[in-house]
Amino acid sequence: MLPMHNTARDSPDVSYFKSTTHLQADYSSESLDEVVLRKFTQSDGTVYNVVFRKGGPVDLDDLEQLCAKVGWPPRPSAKVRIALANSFMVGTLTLEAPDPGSPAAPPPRLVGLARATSDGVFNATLWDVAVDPDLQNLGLGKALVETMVRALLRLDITNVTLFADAHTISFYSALGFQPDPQGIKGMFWFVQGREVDGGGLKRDGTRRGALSRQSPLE
Amino acid sequence: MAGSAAMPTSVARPLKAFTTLQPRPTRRTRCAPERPTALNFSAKPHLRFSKGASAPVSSDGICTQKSQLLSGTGSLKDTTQAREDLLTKSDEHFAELGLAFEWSLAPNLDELNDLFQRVGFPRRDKAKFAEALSNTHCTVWVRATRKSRMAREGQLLAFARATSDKALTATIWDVAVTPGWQRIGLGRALVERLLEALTSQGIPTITLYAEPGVVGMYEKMGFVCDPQGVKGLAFQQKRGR
Repeated sequence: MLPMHNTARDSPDVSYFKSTTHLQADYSSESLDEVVLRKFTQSDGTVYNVVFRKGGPVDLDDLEQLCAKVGWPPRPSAKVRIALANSFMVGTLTLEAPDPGSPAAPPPRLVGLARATSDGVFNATLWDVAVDPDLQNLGLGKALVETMVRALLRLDITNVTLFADAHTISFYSALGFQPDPQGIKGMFWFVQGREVDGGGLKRDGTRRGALSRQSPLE
Repeated sequence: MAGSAAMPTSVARPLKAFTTLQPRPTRRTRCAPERPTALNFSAKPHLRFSKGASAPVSSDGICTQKSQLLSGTGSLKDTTQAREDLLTKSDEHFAELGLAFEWSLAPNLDELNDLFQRVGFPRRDKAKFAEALSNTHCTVWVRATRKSRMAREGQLLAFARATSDKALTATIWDVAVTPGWQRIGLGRALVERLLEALTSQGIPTITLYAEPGVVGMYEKMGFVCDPQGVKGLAFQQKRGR
């Protein structure tokens, strides 16, 4: 199922982007805390950046809106807050003016998210990879996941895993993820006898919401 | 009302009863408490639950609407009954075999590495291991309570741990049972106890990555492979990187 596109546009108006500049993300920098991934130029000449940030503040309202835009069922806000606070790494993509601190700049807009849980040493798992449907198919999801993976590898966390919907497996394969490596199967356990809110899959494998929790990139 | 003890929790009663009716009150305390975090949140007022068409939720996110409880699952179970069903063999059963489950005491890392080596896992650097365990949400292990031909008293015989964001997801890692104590249900017992602890905290998504030889064991416990095609993937570093 294709994600629903938001008809009520809020600033900045991405439908009028005339040109985009693909920046080579500066992976040579010591930290991957903040990386400018893309520059967009509107028809009136206004320039916006898409910036990856790791460890920055996340507005829960904006996140809920983003999750709704990509078609995920709503999750209790209290749980999302706790989950973010206890995630090892949270990466966001924001669409913002080149100098977001200036008073004339429009407010930054959350357009992407990915988070990783980890023991900080051996294993990490990526969850909730989302890119705003208005900015999909521009390579932002790829850049987001790549930057997260690089950041994790930099910390010597070598086992980076995730769960992907069937239609996103090729996306992750292209980024270096292999399904069932050496026959190892990812498995889900279902709470017996009742459904717990915040979960995406039901016991029989059918999905409560419209789209994958992993990557709504189509 | 006849048979009411076996009836599911009714819509009228808040499902908070689920969190208060704990047959083993220490389960919730067996996982790591909240630690201070580096993330901050914007000063904007926080969202209340978006009601929309979704079912009413209690503050810990447990769904209270009956239709949600029934959808897709088929069987009605009292919630406490469901949790007691999780353990196929009790602590007492294992106590008679000279085995005890430990939660709060950190296992000896040398012994843990010995166990890992015996089951074919790589040995870990001790400092890294200690750090990984301190970042692990739940750790459970099996201790021999008496000396026998197959164990020293106090010896670490089996282990399992789970990482989690403490609200939405959890992943179980490093399930190991020493050869000689396998095939008596210890692996399953460890995982069931982790599941009980995690579900008592309302964590809805619990996952693990299973080697081909143990996929069947986990399926028997209620784990599902590739539900609707959702697959587990792992990043494979390119050679030379």
